[in-house]
Amino acid sequence: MFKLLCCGSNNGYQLGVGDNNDRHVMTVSKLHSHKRIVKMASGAEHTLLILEDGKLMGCGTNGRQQLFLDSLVERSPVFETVHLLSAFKFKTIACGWEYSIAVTRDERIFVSGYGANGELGLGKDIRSSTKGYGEIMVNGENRGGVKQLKSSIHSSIIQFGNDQVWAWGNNKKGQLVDYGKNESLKIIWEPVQLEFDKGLKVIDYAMGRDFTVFIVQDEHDKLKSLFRGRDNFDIERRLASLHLSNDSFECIESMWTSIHLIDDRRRIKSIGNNSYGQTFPGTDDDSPYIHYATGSEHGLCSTHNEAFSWGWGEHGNCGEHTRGDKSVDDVTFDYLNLLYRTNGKKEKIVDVFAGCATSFIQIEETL
Amino acid sequence: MSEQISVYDQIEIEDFTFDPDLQVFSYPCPCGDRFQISLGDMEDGENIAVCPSCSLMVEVIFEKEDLGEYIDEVA
Repeated sequence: MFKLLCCGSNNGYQLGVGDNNDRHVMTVSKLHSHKRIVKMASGAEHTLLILEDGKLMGCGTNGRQQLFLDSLVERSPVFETVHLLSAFKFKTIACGWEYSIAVTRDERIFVSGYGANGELGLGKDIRSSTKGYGEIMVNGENRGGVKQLKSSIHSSIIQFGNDQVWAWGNNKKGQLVDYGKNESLKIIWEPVQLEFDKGLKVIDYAMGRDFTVFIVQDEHDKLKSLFRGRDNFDIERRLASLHLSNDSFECIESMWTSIHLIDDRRRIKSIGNNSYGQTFPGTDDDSPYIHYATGSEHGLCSTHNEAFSWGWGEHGNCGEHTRGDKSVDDVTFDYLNLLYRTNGKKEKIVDVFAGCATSFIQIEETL
Repeated sequence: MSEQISVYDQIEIEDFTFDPDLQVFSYPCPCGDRFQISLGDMEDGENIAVCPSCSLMVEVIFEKEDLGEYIDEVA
């Protein structure tokens, strides 16, 4: 059986522990299930997850109906089944600031919540979902199904099985498409297909707060990075100077102001804002980490029996400092801080997840 | 002013949400709350938005003339 541990920012009940006090040590989230969680996503103050049987659950604030719950429900202090959509089985989810996207196993794309910048993708000037949720009418089934879905705080990108890439939401920084002189493209109210130079295929992408990095493969199977959006931290140039190998590249993840490349040996390379220790502080000599997760400005990594945190941890999301000589300040974790160690052979860490100053560790327990 | 304060990032004024009733600009903070700065403070030359829930701060990028449309909105 499985359990979910959490710590961090909790003003909106987004940890699912029943109250809204921040947690600085790992605490059990209340979840009426012992099934394995296969996907988690979170916004400002809400958290969604999918269980292995496809059931969608959520906790946190529902003030904008971002939990797909009835508008009369202000919040869900613990993880509850999303009853409005309980007839469906889900395969993936993503959350932005005050909205959520959930994709069913039969490729329907539901959205809920609020967004003033086209976040819902439902059409011009539609800022909130009526009837609890809306449905984005891009025919995913005809495009090979949703392969990847990612959101930043105000925009979202889907890649389909046929490798087409579609996007919608806030484009004020050109993070989705170059708007040139066409100011109307600063907000993309419904999904548009993103164009790339001929012969380029998107392998993966990462969405920072107001930029996107695409990892693309050319006709000769070479990888390169494409940067779109505002670049406050010299990410585009530093990325371009890296050699990306098709043989070793595994995936790209992001915090709000940094990106993190993971290779096939589970090593991680970080580029971007390091004002609070956000770039990965481990070395290549460390034992490889099986699981990685990046939140708004902190990260998690784990083996089967130890989980560590790094980055900005002001709300307890990096746990309590375990190193006495912390070099900077209380909120900066510029080293790998031990967040949790399993209870011997009875527990195994099976996944980690990080949100807006929230951290979650999924544990498999054997009796 | 920003030289003395460690700011987390710089954000352009067009990215903030303006509430004409409260006369406050806000923008998402990584903690889940929002950075805030009042129109009045910006008219006085202030450019640091603070989060009520944590220590992070952002520098607002704007020109004084950018404030005109918001002042009109309030009026």
